Amino acid sequence: MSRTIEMSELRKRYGANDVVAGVSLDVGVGVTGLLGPNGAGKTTLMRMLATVLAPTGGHLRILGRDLDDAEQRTDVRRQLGYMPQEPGFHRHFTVFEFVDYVAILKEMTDTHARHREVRRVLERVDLGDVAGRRIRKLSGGMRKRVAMAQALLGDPRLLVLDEPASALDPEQRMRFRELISELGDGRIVLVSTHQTDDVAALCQRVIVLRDGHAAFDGTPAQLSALARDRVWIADTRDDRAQLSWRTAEGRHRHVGDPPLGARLVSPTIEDGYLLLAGPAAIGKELAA
Amino acid sequence: MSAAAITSATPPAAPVRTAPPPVRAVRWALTRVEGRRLLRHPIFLLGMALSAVTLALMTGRLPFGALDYSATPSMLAGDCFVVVGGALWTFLAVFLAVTRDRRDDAQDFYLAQPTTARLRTEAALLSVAWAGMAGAVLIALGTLLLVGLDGALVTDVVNGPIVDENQRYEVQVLELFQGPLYLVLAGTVGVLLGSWTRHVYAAVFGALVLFLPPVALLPWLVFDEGIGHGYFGAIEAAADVGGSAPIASQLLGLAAVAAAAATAALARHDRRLVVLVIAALSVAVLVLGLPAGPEATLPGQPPPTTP
Amino acid sequence: MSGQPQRLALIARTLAWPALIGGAALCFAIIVLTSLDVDSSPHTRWPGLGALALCLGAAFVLDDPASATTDASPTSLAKRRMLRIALTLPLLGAVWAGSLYYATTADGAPLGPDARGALSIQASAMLATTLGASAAALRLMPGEASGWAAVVVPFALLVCAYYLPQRWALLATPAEPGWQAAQQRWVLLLAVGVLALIWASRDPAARSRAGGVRAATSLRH
Repeated sequence: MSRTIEMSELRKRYGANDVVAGVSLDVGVGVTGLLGPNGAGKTTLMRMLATVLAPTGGHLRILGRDLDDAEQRTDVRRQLGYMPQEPGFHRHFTVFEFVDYVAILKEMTDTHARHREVRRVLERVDLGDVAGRRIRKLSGGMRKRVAMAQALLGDPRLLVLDEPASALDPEQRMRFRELISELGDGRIVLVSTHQTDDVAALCQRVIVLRDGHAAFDGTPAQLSALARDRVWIADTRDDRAQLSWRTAEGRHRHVGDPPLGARLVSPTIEDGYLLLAGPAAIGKELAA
Repeated sequence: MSAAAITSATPPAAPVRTAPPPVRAVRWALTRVEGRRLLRHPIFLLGMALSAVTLALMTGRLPFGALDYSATPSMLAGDCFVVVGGALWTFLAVFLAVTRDRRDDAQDFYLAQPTTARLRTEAALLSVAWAGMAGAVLIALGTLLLVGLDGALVTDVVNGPIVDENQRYEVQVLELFQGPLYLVLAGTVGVLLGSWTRHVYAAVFGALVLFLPPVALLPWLVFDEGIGHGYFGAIEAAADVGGSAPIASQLLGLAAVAAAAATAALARHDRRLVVLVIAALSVAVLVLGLPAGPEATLPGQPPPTTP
Repeated sequence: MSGQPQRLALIARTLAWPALIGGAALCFAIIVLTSLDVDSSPHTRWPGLGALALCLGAAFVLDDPASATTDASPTSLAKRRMLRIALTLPLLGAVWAGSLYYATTADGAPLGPDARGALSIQASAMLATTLGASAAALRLMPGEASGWAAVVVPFALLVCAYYLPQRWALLATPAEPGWQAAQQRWVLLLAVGVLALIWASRDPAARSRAGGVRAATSLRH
């Protein structure tokens, strides 16, 4: 069985607006990060890959299945774990009841085996102690972990995680990184995030979406390298920079065309991303 | 939590991937979960409590009361579920269950699963049987308490029981199925409405229009009783009828209406079922249009005049 | 020119108009149709059944999906709720008045002004208790839509109206001896509903009076 996602000129149009405007990518085993500004089409793309949204154009094959066929689409869903960006919950359900319900929808019909699996995934995300608590009494971060838990049910081959680390405290974000790293062995894991340091820590590959197109496809190091010799530090703000901000040490970090004699520093993924897809992006030719 | 504790222990083993189970197993698992949730739903429990109070109240079993105990047969024949009783609240509870995915914006969880919306609707329809069973238990308890195994009406449970041997009520077993079947019908209509809209106010208005006497349209539409008839007329009439044929036809009519509602709910996912809906409704109209059979009355009551 | 008309227009856009209009339409239909059925009992033709439909539609008036944001605004919760209710009253009042025009007495005659006044008090009491329950549900379960919880109240009132024993009866015709007492109970229900609405519309961030005094005292030391 194929272990990839294959997209060819994938499109999604709403009215006159192409939210996803022709994305062609192959995604294989490992952790792939999806970055992009707000409105770039990340969530729309994730929803198409999670089979909850039908594309309006192009072709999409997941794990060797053609999603235009209902039977094959169902087969993909049997091997899919999806964590939505803004999950809605049945607030009067307990944590266990909700994950158990999703487990039934995942066709786990044996009660004992299903409950065992529900307990397993809840332990995985550190919610074992609150399994009996009603979801409306949980914090936002804990609800995110409930959403993650249901995505892990059945040990899926494909994980589509839309902003999984938002609303998590620092400790939980570390645990999340650990979990994703383990899951990336032998699985296709696609993570959409705004956290560039999560991408740097987790992903073997990064895709940057901008205006519905894939503006970059490479490794995190390659994304950082886009900003090589274009990041410098100064004591005062330099108006010639495309972007600048004050650091915690009280100095100014700049991204753009450095002046002569500027003190260059090593670029980060964030610098490369900002040059590519930030508000003053000048990197269209860099994405080629 | 310390840094050492953050490093997790070896995670428990993931399940071995097997072939998908048969569809009926998934349907049954969903049905069980939905049925159990329905039985615990506060609105459904409110309805059953109101039905139990109505059963007791209308038969004069509480210190304050309304009618005399001759209302017992019609109450046991299902009227206890009609008069702001179980049917209306079963309808609402089932509607809330069927629409929870849309009202809670949880549809993305559902759409990404291999279980289809049609299968979930089928499970919801089957889970309504749990409401029917709860109704059957209530009717059975009521029958035992208010009539007893010998068929004599108990005139004063509170201070008694005092049994009036002169008022011996011939319990028609088929009659006792009317109430639970009416609950099933109410739940099925709840699934139907929930398949087409998620708005709670639509269900609230539907409850008023379809189930709440004296404006309840469902009995009026189905049984040709005028608006303002306070009760489920055919049930009340059947309670006075001793012959088994009219009661059986009543049950068949109720079942046909429920089947029509169920098919209409499934038609949301398969337009070809619309034909079946029309067929089921036709059966219901034909069956319920049959004239009532020979009538029997309680001892001591004058025989009803034949229309 | 003040921003009040603009504010009212914006608040109006946040109301659940389909529920309100649906309830209004049902109210009118129920009262007109039951009035046409001259063989039915007086209780069947009680316009309170129409008022029930109005209340079911109005049960969703206080639901505000943006409350997490608007609760922090300088406009108080009480004022925001009063504005929401005030915007619905013209529709509710007009439909109710129009419905009463068609309502009839036990012998099929049009209602007199006294009867209309009494029935309007009953309807107001049902509405006030529904809105009071809605506000209370929102206070006790913040973040939840309270409409569906509040609909229990008008149904419960209907049950009580039909089944309460004589000494607590809510339903009586003007010819019956218990008429005045029944009306007094409706007025009491109206007061209870209004008080519940006021209580539940207090500023949620305000401390209790006793707590405020203790805090003020401790600051002095």
